[in-house]
Amino acid sequence: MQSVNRSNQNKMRLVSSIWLAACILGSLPYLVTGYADSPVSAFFLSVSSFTTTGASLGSGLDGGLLLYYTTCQWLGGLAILVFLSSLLPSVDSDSKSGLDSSFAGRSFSEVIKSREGNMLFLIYVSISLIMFIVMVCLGHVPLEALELTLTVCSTGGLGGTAFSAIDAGIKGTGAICIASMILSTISFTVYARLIRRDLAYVKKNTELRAYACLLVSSTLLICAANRISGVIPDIWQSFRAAGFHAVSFSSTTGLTNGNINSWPAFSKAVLCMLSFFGASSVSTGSGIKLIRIIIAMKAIRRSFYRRIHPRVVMSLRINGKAISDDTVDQVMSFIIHYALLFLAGCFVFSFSAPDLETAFFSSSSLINNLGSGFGAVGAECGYDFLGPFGKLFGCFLMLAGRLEIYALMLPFSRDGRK
Amino acid sequence: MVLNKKLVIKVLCAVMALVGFLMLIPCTVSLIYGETVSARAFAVCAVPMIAAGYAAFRLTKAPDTNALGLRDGFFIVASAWFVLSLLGSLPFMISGTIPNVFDAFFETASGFTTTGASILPGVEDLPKGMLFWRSFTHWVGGMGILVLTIAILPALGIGGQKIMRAETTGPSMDKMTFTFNDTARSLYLIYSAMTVIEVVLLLISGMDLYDSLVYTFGTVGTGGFATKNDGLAGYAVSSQIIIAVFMMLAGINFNLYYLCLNKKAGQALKDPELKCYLGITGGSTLFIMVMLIMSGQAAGIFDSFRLAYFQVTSILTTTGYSTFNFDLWPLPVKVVLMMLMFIGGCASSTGGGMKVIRVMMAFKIAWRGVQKRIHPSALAPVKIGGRIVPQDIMRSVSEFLILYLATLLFGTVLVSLEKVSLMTAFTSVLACFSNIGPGFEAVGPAMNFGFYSGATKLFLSVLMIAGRLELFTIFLMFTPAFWSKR
Repeated sequence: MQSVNRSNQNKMRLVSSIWLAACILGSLPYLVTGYADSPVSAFFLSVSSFTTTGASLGSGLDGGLLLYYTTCQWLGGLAILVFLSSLLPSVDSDSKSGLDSSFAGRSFSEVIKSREGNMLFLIYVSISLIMFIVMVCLGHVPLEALELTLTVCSTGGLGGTAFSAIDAGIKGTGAICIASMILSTISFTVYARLIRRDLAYVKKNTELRAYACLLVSSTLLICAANRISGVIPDIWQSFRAAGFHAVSFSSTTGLTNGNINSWPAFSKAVLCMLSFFGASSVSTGSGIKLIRIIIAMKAIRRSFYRRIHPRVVMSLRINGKAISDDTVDQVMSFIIHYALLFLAGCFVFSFSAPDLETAFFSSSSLINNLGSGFGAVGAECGYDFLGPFGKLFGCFLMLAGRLEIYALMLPFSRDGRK
Repeated sequence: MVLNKKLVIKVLCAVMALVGFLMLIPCTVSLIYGETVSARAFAVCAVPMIAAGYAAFRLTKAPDTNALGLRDGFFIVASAWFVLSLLGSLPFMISGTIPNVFDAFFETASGFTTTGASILPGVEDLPKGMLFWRSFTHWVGGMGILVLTIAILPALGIGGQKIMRAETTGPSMDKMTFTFNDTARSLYLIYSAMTVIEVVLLLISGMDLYDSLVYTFGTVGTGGFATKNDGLAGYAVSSQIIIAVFMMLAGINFNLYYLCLNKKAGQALKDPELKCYLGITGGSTLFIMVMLIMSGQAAGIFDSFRLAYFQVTSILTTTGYSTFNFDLWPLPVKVVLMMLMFIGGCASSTGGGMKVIRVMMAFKIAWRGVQKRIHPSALAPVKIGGRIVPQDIMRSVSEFLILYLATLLFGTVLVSLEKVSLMTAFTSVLACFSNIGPGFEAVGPAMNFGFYSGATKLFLSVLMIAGRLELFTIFLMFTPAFWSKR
């Protein structure tokens, strides 16, 4: 058992140090070009790009820096796919529980060499390539098309640059972005199974179904709320805006188009909820992940049942497979941990935020790797108000959210050899 | 579903008659102050309720068995609280004080659940009898109406354990060693003693009898209804401190007082939850003191201590009194207060919220997750005060916590359908669900819930009752499994 423990610890140690190193080195260009005024700001930007958050410090990035920023996001997205789905699975069993065990328990090098590991990489690259080609065909300048592709496929976000500034008013850009964001939010194991022509699996995949329901219903609800409150009077326009933002928030991309800060509270609440648990496991999206919410909901339903029938033994089933109580415990403790970190973020950011709403959305937006939010962190505003300490804590939240908390908690944990 | 219908009816009748009797008290108060309209309203409600309750109680045949099934227990408690809130709101409607049915229901539910959220823009011109009834509901609801029923009506002869479990708060770590009727009675004894002592102290501090009674009900029940529009700001500092101390005492696990009475004070003082509760109180008071001094909102150290200590105990015990409009305080203070709203009092106290013990476990559960991730084979038991928490209690706590958060989120989304800001919607739900009363922004301490629509008021009232009964009792009523035959 000792060796298993050690290897888990080493894996996590490796993951967190690679991420930290990448983020520190990656912050250099912002400093050298003078875009960031301090090392902390540069580090914040760098973390924000590698964790696919897409948070900015206010002014939009221009030209080369934007390309660099989005490239880091794309690499971050790739790293997450490879790390979380091949390096971590034996550790991170819960996000994949009952979904696909094909990666579980294998070593890093094995997965990299294996078909599945390559498949994830190939799927990611091909989604990006297709999107890029379609964008160019639509008439985009290659640079813009590339930047948009990199940021959308990694569910990053443009970091302060307005979406309208980059879509160049070309029709269909929004639709392509929506499609790519959806594609990058669906669990990549679904594609792997599709390639293997395992349609039965895809059809009864709980997480996929839940995602579809969530997306459709929230789009309709937001559309209705906006229409009724009169923010967007035209129904078709309202529908498009609702769809775009529902997809963007659920994938934790955080692209925004137009002033969503003026939307009614209901739409904001739904979008915020989507950013917490809209994304699927083994995708580039971040947040709590749908599968965990499904497991938690089933556990709560079971506890209701148990109150009337205390002696009944029931196991939870996901995709027709029973999952162990240990896994359920892990999921529950993850959600509680997430909520505690979120509240801690609210507290830390309340020292520099102008109002309660901003403190709330700064925290939720950073821990979910969303990037944009409401209040003073709305679409094109940045996080410069956080101050050095707030920014560092923001980096911690972004990394914690991206690496599913545990890898980052390692330094605080005692060595388990007792 | 197989309910022991006769027994359920008998208990509900007993509750109805009891409420009728209780209404005679505010009726007397109204007569003393010469408010004939209110007195008549109370009498019109009380007499038929007592008569009907007694008659139905007598006419219902004795149940075939006194055995109380699990479902019976849940159903009795859930329905009793709805019946209670409905019956209790009748005097408000009949006297015309609060004519709207949703408003009256909200106000009464807020009273019985010891929330203290109000729809009234100003209370100073209300009849004294009505205000007395409003606060008296806090006192009745604080310890639980069914516990009261069983305590004074042992003739019902039903095993109260199940009801008790559904109505008292917090996860029970150890089985009660004393018999049930004893517990119910001694809990009420402690509760009443506390009430008397506080009334006497408040009288000494210079409050008149009426005000001291009203504020004592609000304090020991951790309710929060006041008789002045600006809360306690206008009263003497000594009164404020007395109220703050008693709020803190009401937020402590009442079983600990029982231990003290049995000369086991040492054991009571070692209680880990108590230590944590006092730690949270001290820590947040200190933090808010410093913030108030730094921001210049308080005149001096004593002044800031008074403001901070009062507000911390008031929010942590989910009472909701205020000596100052805390919505105007610096943002970090507001966030700390909001976190205290989540935490709430100790288990088996009159306070609401998640309860200190559950929050302690939340941290341990989160940390256990990390340990398990790094060492999957480790057992890593969760320990509180050196004792291992059984796995099933730990699981039910984490289910509770997540259901709590989910309800908050879901409730916020629903309430945000009103034309309010997101934070108003969120704090409205939090303030009602945790049984606090005031929130921030449009429902801050200087504001009220009157502007919401009837549907939202009803929803918030249900949330208050669900929060008071710790979620599961009410939510169970909405599950098909509860009503299915099996």
